[in-house]
Amino acid sequence: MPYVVGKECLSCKSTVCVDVCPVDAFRDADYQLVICPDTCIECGVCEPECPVDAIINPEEYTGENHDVINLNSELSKTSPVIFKSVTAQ
Amino acid sequence: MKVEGLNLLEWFVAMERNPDEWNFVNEDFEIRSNVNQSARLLAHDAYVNNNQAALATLHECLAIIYRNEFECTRIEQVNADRRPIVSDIQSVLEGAMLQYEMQGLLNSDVSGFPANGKEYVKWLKKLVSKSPSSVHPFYTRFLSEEATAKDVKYYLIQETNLDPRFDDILAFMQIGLPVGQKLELAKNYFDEMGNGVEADVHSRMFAQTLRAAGVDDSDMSSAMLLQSIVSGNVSSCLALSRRHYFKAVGYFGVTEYLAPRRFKHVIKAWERNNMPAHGIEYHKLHVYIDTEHANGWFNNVVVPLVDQDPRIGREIAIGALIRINSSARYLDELSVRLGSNTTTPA
Repeated sequence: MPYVVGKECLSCKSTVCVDVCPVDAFRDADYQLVICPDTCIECGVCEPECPVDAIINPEEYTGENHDVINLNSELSKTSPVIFKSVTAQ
Repeated sequence: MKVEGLNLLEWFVAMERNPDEWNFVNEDFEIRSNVNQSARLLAHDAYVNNNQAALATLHECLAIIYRNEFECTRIEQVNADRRPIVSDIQSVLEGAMLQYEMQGLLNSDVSGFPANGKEYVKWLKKLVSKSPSSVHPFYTRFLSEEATAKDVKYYLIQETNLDPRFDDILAFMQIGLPVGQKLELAKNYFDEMGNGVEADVHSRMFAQTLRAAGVDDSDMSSAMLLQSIVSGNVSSCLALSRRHYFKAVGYFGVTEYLAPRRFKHVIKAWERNNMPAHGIEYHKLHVYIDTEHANGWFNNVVVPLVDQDPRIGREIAIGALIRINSSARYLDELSVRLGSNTTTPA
């Protein structure tokens, strides 16, 4: 199961997680980042980078995470790949 | 043999040319005392007086010592017992090197961690994250966007101080471990061995990368940066000494953890410069395989060690920070050498 970005990203969208992803799995949706489930290799290196703990480890999914999983899946189809953080650009 | 005003490196090189000499010198305690004193003076000059030439000499000596440890013996050497003198010198030089690596660490960075293994791993990953060099601009900016094929070649030469040795490091580290930890390192080792397929042995694949980048043997010694040699020596020091095992777990765990995010940019540089496709297979493989190794290392080595005795967590954190800091110095020197203006951000 891939990692997903939760709603906490809405208040932050710092994008620092993007710099550590080895496969460029993040997508730049309008109001938050999401993770493309087809690209994510489940390495988890992004999780500790997030300043607002928005990235959810699949081992810790609960029933409440279904909406977030669907949101990441849907938005990743239409949002562009983000290759580097705002600070690195 | 005259040893007054001894230049340790020259003496070492001379001894290596004539291995039988070791047995005579072993019996001469005046020479042994002088050699030991020379090692102490060299260490003081390098790390207290900050003499860069002395630092380079010290690390060339250590590199010779470690090379002998990682190479198979030759028939000319079977009767040469280097241990009495080499152990003495090695202890002095390693002591100075490690003292320097550890003196810059903040106590607050290696204490106050959770005593539970799983929680400790989360804490350790955060520790790595907050280090500015965990995302180094040498990779994210220079290699990713600017580096030429010549730059990539120069970078790969520096990387020979760790990558081709990693299988042997894993072999050394497995000695005496409990089964769970040994299994994790053995899995990692078997991956290094290409899972039994000779062409897929990682040292072979890395050699293929070097050839594809145009690196030959003569490039190795002439182009090696000091901080690259230092990184290689720290790696060898932690891997070869059993008492440093816990630090080595942190050091090499972080090495595996950081490799995928860094290799992504090596691949971009390689492809941007249209370098031969077969040469980048090693790095492409490690983007995936090192994520598995890092997670396995954290879950099956770090977690049980900290659960066994939380004091080990401090040693693991020290090893992790030594890796981060020595790697940052190496990448900073490489950035300056290649004129990339991508040193570690403050």
